[in-house]
Amino acid sequence: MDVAKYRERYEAQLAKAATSAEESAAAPLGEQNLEEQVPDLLATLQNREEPVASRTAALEALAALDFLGPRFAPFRARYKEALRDVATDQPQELRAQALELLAIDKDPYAQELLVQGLQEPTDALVPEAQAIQLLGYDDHAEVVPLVREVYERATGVAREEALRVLATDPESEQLFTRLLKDKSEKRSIRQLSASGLQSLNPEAFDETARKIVADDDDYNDIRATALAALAHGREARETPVDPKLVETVQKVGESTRSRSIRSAARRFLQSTEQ
Amino acid sequence: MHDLAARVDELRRQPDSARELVGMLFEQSPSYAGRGTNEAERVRGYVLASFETAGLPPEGVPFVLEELELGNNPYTVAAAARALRGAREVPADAPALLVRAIERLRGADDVVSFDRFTPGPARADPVTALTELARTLAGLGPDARPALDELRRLVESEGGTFSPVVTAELATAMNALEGARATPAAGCCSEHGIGGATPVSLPGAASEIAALALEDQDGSRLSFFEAFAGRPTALTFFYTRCQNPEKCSLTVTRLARLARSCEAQGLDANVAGITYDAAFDRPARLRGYGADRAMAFSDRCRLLRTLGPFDPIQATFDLGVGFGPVTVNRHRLDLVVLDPALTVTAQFERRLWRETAVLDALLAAADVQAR
Repeated sequence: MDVAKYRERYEAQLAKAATSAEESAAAPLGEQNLEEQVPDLLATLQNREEPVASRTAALEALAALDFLGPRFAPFRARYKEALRDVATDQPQELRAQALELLAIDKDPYAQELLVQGLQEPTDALVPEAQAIQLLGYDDHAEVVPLVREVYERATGVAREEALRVLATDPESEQLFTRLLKDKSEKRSIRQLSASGLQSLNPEAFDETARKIVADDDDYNDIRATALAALAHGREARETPVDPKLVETVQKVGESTRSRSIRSAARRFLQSTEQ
Repeated sequence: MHDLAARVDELRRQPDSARELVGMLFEQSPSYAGRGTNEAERVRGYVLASFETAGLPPEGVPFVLEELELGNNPYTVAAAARALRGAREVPADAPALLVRAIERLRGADDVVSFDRFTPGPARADPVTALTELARTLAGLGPDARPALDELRRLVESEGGTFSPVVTAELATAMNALEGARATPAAGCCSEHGIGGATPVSLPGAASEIAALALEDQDGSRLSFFEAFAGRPTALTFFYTRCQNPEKCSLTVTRLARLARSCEAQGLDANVAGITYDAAFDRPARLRGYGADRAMAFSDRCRLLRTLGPFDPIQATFDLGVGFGPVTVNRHRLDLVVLDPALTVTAQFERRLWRETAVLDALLAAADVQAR
């Protein structure tokens, strides 16, 4: 099919499907009359009689307008109040979006609602994993002790999200070291532990990562991740080249059948030549 | 938490409670221990707003001016504006700082309420932080006249960033100031009528922590004595994950400039910063943070962390800092000047320090050695 014609037809379909709010959102941001448009969007967002799709579209349009910075500034206080208003609203998708936008701004009300949900899961406004993720936007919050507790009981995605939050907590260094070394752990958990430990204590990460790189019995993707992180850390911290590590990486690169390890080894060795 | 809020509510109703409220503003007060930054700000804002009715005593004024000068949380800054309404005498810096706060928060206005402690959607007639600031300016009337020109300039250049309600409040404020009788400009010798921090502390000895172990941005380990003895020192405090760009980021940027000024003047002095957050601010992080702010590292210009607890430093210099479960929840600005024998000869706290004042203090500390 002709690409130009396909595009034309696709754009026509898009235009036809757009609701009034969606049309507003699709218009070039710089050309919009915000004085008229924003109050309408806020009214739609807060009107419980409107279909959820229209309210969601209004919310998305407002979130996009927020990127206009100074032009949106006159409406920002009302916008945030509207978000707080719908943060406990019935439609789950709508309140989840509102909570996310507030949490990005480290809004205390949103944080309180999210913490309440973790403490009393039956009253939670969003799933546990999402609550942890949203609270993680604020590394100055007092949520870390609660997240440590949640980590102990959580499984699946919630456990991974908890680890992401704990990556700002120096007291979790030992936890990350243990998880990174533990071959029985899920690979995603070990990869998260690698980035958490590298952020909290690069020297401790280097020590553990060297052992993993040299361990032929460990998983190839974990070894490749460790090697890539060693190269990145060496570049970032401008640490001197360690001949023993270079020798180990050369051997690993020559003997492995894994393409990812060979590639990571090549990158590491290149970083030592610069 | 709610016990603390109830206590503030109780104090609001009692006469002569202002001094107890001031006690709740010190960063190291138990009111903040173990709280996150948001909660610490909430407590602070709730206490500050209480001075509107309880009256703002002179010892509460520095906390109010600090917030207007450096605060970036609309709730707390608005609370400081409310506190000013309880002042018997308007501090000379206050009108200009109110205008600066309006300028700083103009892209981040938010609804604020001080009627109840818990955050939540506003009840009736929501009021925003900028409205609170404008209303305080209007209420100051004649006393705020020195800030009129700056307010006019702000409204002319940035008027499009204010909501219609705030624009109307600012117009009311300008009318109140214009209608007022002329008064002498505040702060005869300071930049834009705003004075910097002035040295406040009595001399004390830092020699008690001479053996304290430190590590610098390159991973070199040395004692406090090795780092600072033998030359005058300007020592400040910061942490890399500070969320307020007017505080730590600016402090380290100005520290770098101070180091260059010392060098340009041939003043052989140490210029250094010690992090509050030693577990997180490891050498690589310190190096990157300083380099991004133009610090020219040398054996006289360093960023450091303690290798043990931070408490001895906090106790020795009486630093205004509180800690949450993971990191700092609130801190004031602190800069100390030490003489070559590690005696504190000057301390600048809470307000922005001026480079010239610190240079003078360093020169005076160097003279101690010469004598």
